[in-house]
Amino acid sequence: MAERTVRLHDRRGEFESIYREHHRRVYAIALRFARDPEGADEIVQDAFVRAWRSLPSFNGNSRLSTWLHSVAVNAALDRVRKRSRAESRIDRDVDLDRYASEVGRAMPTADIDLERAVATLPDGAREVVLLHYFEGFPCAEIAERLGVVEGTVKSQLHRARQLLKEALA
Amino acid sequence: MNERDRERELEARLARAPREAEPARDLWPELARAIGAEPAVARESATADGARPRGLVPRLPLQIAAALALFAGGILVGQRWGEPSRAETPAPRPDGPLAAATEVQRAGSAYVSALSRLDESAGAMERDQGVDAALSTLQGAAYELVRLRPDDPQAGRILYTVSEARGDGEGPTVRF
Repeated sequence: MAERTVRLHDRRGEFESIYREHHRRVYAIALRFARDPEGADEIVQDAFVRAWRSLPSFNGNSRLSTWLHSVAVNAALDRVRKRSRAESRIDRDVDLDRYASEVGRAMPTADIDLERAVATLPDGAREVVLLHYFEGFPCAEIAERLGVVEGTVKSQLHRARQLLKEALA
Repeated sequence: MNERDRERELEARLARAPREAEPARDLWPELARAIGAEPAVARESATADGARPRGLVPRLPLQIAAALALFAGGILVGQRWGEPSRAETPAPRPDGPLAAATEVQRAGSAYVSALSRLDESAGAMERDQGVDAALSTLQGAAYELVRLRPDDPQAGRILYTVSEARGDGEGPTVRF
């Protein structure tokens, strides 16, 4: 029988160390998906609460950073979906100037024009750009995560590239 | 600049984008509250030489409440089967599709009944020894639960909680 080991990280101190080491990576994901600092804070919190709950069953087959990255992306996608449902009723706009300001503060080396252009993409195209170019997921995995076929992801990426080129021209 | 160059430039800009961002404030205090990680009472009250303090009973309800849920069903069964301590001979193993569940409930009932009698114990030392035995049994049960359901975070949390209550420094390793 194959042996699988579950290491239980059972100290708050250990978890705080994990948080301190990885929170910047998670915040970058959260900020780009949420496009506002408060929403990003919520995603970070949600992601680490999920990680805390699931850590005992983390089986060590992947690196902790890879696993946390996946947890954070799931938290971000869940929030985007919830917001999409809410926005269809409330029709709330994103404050792009505020977002750009936060990006400039939180990521001093960021290409603000590019970040603004990505933030203004239509939701579907923006999600695949974030997942593919910023988070490094292959198209097949993005398709699985979003529940669409791979061809849809590729066409969204193509469309997104066109829109970005126009915006940055 | 032709279309291909524009494409290359876009991809280069995307590749250069930073992957880390600094939050405006420290999010850890809120997170610590959210995960219920209050200051560890057990450690704060530990003796100077690091030994576990006596008198575990007062903090027991908080620390192992979640774990006791494992045996909540056993209380009901216990009421049906009566006081397990009276049984000089083990009850026959039940048959049928619910045999395993019934056996677990019966054992849980005996455990809960014995635990409830700890309060009636004469001395503090006897009570502490009983609590230590209770935690050890709980840890064993939680260990088996995690082995049975390795991907269930609740099972993991129960084992974590019990291990924390027992003061296991490194936390258990469950092998499959």
